[in-house]
Amino acid sequence: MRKLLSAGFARLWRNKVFWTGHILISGVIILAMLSNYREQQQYYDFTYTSDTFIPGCYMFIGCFTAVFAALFLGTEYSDGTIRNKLIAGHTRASLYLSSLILTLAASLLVSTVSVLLAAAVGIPLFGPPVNIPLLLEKIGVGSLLVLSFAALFTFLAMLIHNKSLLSVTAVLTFFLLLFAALFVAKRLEEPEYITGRYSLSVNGELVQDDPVPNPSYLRGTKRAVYEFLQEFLPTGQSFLLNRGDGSAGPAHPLRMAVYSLLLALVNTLGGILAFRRKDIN
Amino acid sequence: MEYVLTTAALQKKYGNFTALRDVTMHVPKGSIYGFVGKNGSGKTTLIRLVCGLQTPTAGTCELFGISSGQKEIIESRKRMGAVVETPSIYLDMTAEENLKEQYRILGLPSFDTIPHLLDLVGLNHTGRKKAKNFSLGMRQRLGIAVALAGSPDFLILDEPANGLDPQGIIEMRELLLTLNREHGITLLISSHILDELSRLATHYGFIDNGTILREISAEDLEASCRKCLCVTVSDMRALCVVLDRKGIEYRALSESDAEIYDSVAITDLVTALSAEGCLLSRIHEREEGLENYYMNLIGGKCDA
Repeated sequence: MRKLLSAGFARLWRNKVFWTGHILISGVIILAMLSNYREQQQYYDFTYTSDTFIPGCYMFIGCFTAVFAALFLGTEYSDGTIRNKLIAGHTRASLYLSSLILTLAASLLVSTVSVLLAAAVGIPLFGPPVNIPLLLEKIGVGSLLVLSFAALFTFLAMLIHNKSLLSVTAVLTFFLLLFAALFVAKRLEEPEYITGRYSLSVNGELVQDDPVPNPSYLRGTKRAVYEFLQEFLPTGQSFLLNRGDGSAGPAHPLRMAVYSLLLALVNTLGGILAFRRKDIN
Repeated sequence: MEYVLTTAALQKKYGNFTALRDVTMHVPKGSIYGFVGKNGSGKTTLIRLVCGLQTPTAGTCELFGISSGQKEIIESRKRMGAVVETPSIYLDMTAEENLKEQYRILGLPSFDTIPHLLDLVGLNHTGRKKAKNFSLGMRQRLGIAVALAGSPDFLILDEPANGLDPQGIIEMRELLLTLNREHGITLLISSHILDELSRLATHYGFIDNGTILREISAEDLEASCRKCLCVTVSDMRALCVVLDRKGIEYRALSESDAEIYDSVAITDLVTALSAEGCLLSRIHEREEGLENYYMNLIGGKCDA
């Protein structure tokens, strides 16, 4: 495994997708900070803190991991170099785990660099983070989120040997998860009551009707299921880590961390078992 | 005889399709084993099983005396190199970078031998050129260099001359002979180019429809190949009369052409034909080659 990692990291440093990921993710966050800083300077009712932007990378990291795994690991099948590793006497399990470690390392490096850059640019613009323990908690949960994304996309990359099909499947999987999380978030954000309408009373005064219960508001078991999905889905976790102005954190960070670990474990065990049986051409 | 590779009743099924059935073969140490078969006969499937890329449905293969059922087979695979179907190289890397990558995979402590390896396969002047810009022949040679990185004792090459130009084929042949004769590497070569294979191989294995039809050494094949005289005459009936009278085995191919299998005194034949009023216009000796042998073996349905 050490040999595979040594070869894999040597290839990673010269991989274009890896460096493009750094530029794109860090670039988007820095642009967002600069744009919001300008907004804050023009309209004084906006006040941002650096807490808002520092964990911003966890919004995009899933997309990066999907593209990276498809192109970096997919090359092993398309160029046939996976055969060299097996013929050289490496076991399938070590081949799978080294691929997972490489994907995780690449994604963690991209997210860490982004967090550090966001802090380097954000602190001079918006001041130091208001709630450092919360920020650290978000980075911790975010790192486990990166692990669950890495495990998911390594699973796909090791089992789909056609690079084009793999690329499409990985990106589609990410967007499917993203839309599912968006849908869940939208349903959970429905207000419990709809604000009463304003009407004119008989003596000419403007009065507001009593609020009425919102039929779209999720209650009981249904709400619990949606809340579970939001915390369970990696993309749902991305939303929770970037919710609001950064002053509030996710309600159940420990639960989210456990879900990420569980997803990573199930994907990796299932992936290794399936990869051991896979016929390689 | 010491064997590098033996297989016993090896079988591989993909769903209902049986790609290999009870394949038993023996690759002697130090040999160049020519693996001959038409498209889809199971050559590449067998190579994949030997390389551990796929697992057999039944049967075993032994590499350096270690059975595929033993854990040590993974260690014994370190003594072999292979190019299966297409060269396994990173297209966005140079030849040297590809070799460095393979050295890391093998855990070799130094890159010092890379220039020698590039020199051996004739790629020492490729510099910064990426493998994606290489010709097919250069890629094949780089694939072989990658396979040779671990100094293997046994090298498997799947169609190494496929798509090469005549010059490339000659260079490939010289490289393979050098590897076998100077470096003592046992080679298993599957090839469609039978004429080319016959210039290299010391042993042959013939496969058809997933079954090994025959294994034979080049010496035995040469001995079993029949020599014949090809003649062109003006009167086939007269030739038949003369040969029948002398009890000589022959085969008429057309109104004027025939093959004579027994040894015959040419002066006697010409005199006898002349007496029958038949003119012998052409005569030459022909030896049955690998191609004919293979054709006869598979019953004439050749696609190799």
